[in-house]
Amino acid sequence: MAENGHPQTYVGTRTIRPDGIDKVTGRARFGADFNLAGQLIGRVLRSPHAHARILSIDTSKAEALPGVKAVITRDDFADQSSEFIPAGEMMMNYKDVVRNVMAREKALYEGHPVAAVAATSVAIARRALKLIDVEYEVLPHVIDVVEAMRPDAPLLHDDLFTVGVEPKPDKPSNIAKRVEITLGDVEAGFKKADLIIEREFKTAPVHQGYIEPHAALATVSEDGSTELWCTTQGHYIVRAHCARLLGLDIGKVRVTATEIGGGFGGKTVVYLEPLAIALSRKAQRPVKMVMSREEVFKASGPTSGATVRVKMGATKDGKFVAGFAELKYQAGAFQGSPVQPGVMCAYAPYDIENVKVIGYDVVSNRPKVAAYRAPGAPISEYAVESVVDEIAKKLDIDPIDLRMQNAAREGTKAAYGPKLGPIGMEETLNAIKKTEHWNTPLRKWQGRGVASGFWFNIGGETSASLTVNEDGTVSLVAGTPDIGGLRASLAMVAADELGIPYDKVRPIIGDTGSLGFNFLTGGSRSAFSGSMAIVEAAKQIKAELCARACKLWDVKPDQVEFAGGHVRPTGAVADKAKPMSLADFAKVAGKTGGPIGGYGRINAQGAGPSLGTHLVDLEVDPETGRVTILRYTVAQDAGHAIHPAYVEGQFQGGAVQGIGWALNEEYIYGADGKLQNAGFLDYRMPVASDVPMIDAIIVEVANPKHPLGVRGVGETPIVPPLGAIANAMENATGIRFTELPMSPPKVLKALKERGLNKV
Amino acid sequence: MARVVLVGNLAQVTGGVAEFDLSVTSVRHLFQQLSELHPALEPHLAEGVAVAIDGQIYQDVLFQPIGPNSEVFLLPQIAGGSGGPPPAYKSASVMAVGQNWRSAFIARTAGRSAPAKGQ
Repeated sequence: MAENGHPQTYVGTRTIRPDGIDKVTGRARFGADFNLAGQLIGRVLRSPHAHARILSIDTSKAEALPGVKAVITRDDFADQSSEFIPAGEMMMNYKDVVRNVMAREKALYEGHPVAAVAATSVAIARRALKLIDVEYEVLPHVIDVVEAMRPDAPLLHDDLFTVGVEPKPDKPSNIAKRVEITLGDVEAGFKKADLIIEREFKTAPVHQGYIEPHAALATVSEDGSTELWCTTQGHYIVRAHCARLLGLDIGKVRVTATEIGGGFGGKTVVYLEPLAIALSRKAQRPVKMVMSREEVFKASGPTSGATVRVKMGATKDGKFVAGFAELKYQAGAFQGSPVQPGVMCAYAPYDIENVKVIGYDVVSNRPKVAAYRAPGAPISEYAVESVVDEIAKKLDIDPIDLRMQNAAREGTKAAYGPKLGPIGMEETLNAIKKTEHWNTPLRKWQGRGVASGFWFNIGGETSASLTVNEDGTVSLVAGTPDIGGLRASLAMVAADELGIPYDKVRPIIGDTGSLGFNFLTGGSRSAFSGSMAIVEAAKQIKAELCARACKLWDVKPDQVEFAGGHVRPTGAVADKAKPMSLADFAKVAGKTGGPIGGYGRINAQGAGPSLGTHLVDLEVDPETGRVTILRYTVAQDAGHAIHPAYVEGQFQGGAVQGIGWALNEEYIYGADGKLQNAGFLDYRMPVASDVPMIDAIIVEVANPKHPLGVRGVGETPIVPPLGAIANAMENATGIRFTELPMSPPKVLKALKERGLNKV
Repeated sequence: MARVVLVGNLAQVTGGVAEFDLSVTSVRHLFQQLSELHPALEPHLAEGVAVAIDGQIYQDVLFQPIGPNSEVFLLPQIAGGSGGPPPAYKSASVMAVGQNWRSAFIARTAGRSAPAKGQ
């Protein structure tokens, strides 16, 4: 029995994943694995220009090609008014969404969809695309965020006026908004400082790099009923967006989330889905669409690249007294970068009295950014963690001790306003300091770096059901796609709550017709919120079983209890009847009131932030500039790990993605505004042979607002790697790298400039 | 009285007033009072803000109680790390007391006609 009174047999153990066999045998069906009889193949015509006005689109030749069943353009989508809604981990505006799925007045980036066709074969579809005649007026483009902010920069939207500045601007610009948070008096804080360090950093846009490309299969019947199978982090959100963009009733659209080969935030928005439905509606046939890898890179969101200026002040004994930062984030072609969370997270790991952070959301001729694990936070916290390390060096204080001295704790007033509840910053620092890794000696050209990271985590609307089957087994239906072990985690919670074996619970992800609304899998919310909903559903089942037992045994409600998987008579009537299990009730369900089940419908609140600290050893090859990660340890607060192996997997995955972000990944554009490296050969992500086994330390500072103490864990692990690796690079080479990625050409150039490139 | 603080750009809407002492019992009540005091805040409250009550962040919870001595912060919504407060909604009246994205969607979809020509 856990301290909180919940029976626990499986929670906290490493059960076999229920989706494992299908995945290792190839039986699991991902987005591109779905097919329907008579389906057509959909393909998208994309802009070859970074910025161009679309003067005309002539589809007549394509429509006349035998085998072509439908062609769609901007004319097939009604325009949308300017309205913002949360989109997974970002904000989006339907006016922009309709323009992103299909260009209207202008093409705003290379790869921007301009038209789409559905044909009876891939070859015909490709031929049809070539027959579509688009007349463009090519316009000057802008790629870099700082250049895009200049008054004379090519303007993407003539109706974009900067929000958040006074007086309100009378001219449009590429700066969508300015945001700011302030705590205390930052100028007064700097006056107290004995040491002030100011640096500017640049990070490159990086793609989420999910291995499975976007895919959708749609079929629309003659009465408008629509079915859609797609790879997504939120099928209820896809349903809502598609219904909105295509003028459909939500109730007529049924969306099934397929197995998903990674999303990391990038599958929280729609690209192909509304196109497939529009084509199917026009052709009256099912339409299947799958992106190529090149399309994924060119036309689905990476996360922002950014320019960040950080200024920190500390006293000579190491107390941080002031922190300032200015963040300029690329949003891509439409506003909505993750600059706001970047602003809020920048100094969140620390207790600093005086903080001011300003952020700018800036559009440029790149694909619209999408969420990527802890959106915005890795960028701003990388810059801060780099300066924190420099302060430690200058003051000759151990970098972990310096972080410990300034760590945010329960009761710390965060720069974004409220006081923090119980958090595990100190615990993760302590955990790292106690490792053998921290004390292992290093050789020449090797360096060790440490950095911490913060992410909020969220809850949100969640529905889940438990149904007791005729034999006492339990069907579990959840409505958020399982990306990181949701089915296993929820089955464990259900088994514990109902006192039945784990393998008697069969978890599935239901389609949008199976449950009430579910927000998507994002914000590190699905296990946090889903387990709360399952606890609620199980509570309903237990109450129902107790009520039926009272009627069967002619006893009062206070004379029965549910414990150990059985309803038992208690007290004076303890011997009156034999305890009944779930299976016993299942046998007589019909005679005692009908099917037994529970339905958790909640708006989960109480998500606790998760903090992590990473430690990395690396080695620099002075002849080539190549960096090898030698050893890596993650310590992170999980609150209470439902499935430790999955939690460790999240830590490891985040660390590896952060390694790629720090060392190699970047979007490279030519002078023509075209992406030069839209493929995995040229866009260098880490593969298994590039990284060592990541050691994971699960710290557990229970979240008091969750019935099992759980915190979300999926996003925080990508926050510290950038800073930790930059700090290790400084220790290995003596050079403070302020621009990511620290790829071999850049490292070699820096070594050569200092005459260090000799062994 | 609960101490209420506006974080970030929200104070621009109130002419720089960022702190209030209000007698409110719930988030819904808070939003109503703030909207009466500063009508320009209404669309921003409607489009979604996070509310931190005594250190705990809540989102889309109109009925969450606020104690007489609570410390309350209105923050940009963290919708899974959302992008923060956008420009104003145009039809705030239908969402006067804190509408989430789902109901906003429904309010705007109702009665829509078939797709029209683009441009």
